Amino acid sequence: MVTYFENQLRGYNIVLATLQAFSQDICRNCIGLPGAQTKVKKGLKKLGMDLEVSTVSKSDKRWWLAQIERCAGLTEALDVAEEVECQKTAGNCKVGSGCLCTDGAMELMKEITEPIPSLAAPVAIG
Amino acid sequence: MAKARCGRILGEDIYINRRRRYTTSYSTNQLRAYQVVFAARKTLDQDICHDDCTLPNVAISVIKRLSKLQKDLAASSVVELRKQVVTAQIGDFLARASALPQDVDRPCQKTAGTCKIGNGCFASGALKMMKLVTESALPTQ
Repeated sequence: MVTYFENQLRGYNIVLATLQAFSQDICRNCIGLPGAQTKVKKGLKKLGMDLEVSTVSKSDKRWWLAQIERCAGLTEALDVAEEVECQKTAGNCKVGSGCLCTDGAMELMKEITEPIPSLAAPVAIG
Repeated sequence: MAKARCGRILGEDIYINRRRRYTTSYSTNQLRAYQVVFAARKTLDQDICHDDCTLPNVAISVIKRLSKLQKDLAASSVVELRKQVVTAQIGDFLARASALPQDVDRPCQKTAGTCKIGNGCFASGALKMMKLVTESALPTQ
């Protein structure tokens, strides 16, 4: 059970580090960054809900919840411009058809392939 | 040298040097992505990956790729001033990468039983971001 939360938070930690790096470049003004930010927020919210219904002990639950909240705080603190537009459309981003924020950073979460059944029914594991 | 027709003035075709245009854009895009790979690497180094063999492998791979980028740029016909600027940037990245541990004689943390994320690997995943830089690649001659 704990492995699921451990792996997910480990992944979000790296995603957040990459998003912070992107926010210091042209991606700060790009719509891809808040898009990725929203995905992380949603993912962390789901992780929190999974934790609530899990069989993890109360003291562990508190600890994991604090970790999730720490990541949520970092997500909220990402430096995103008030007005954003796709930097490809704006003519600034010339990396190709891919998007470093959404395709690159978020793809890192796909490196986590275990434990498989946790997303559907976290209570069943453990 | 590859040339591309960019227009016609007074009945005469005007060509631009494709390699000049491609190389600086390619280098800049590459460095943009390396910046993020470095950020991911730094975070990974603070976790279980610190003792892993993949982080040194990533560092070695980055050094090789940056060295190639530097050589490609040196051999290109980019305007000298611009070449100097980008070469200095690549040099900074190379210095940062060279300062990273390159001792691959460490156990994979999956083998050690510490990493339980599955078949994937965060360190290799971070390097995969470089594959998103698909445009302005150096044209083959």
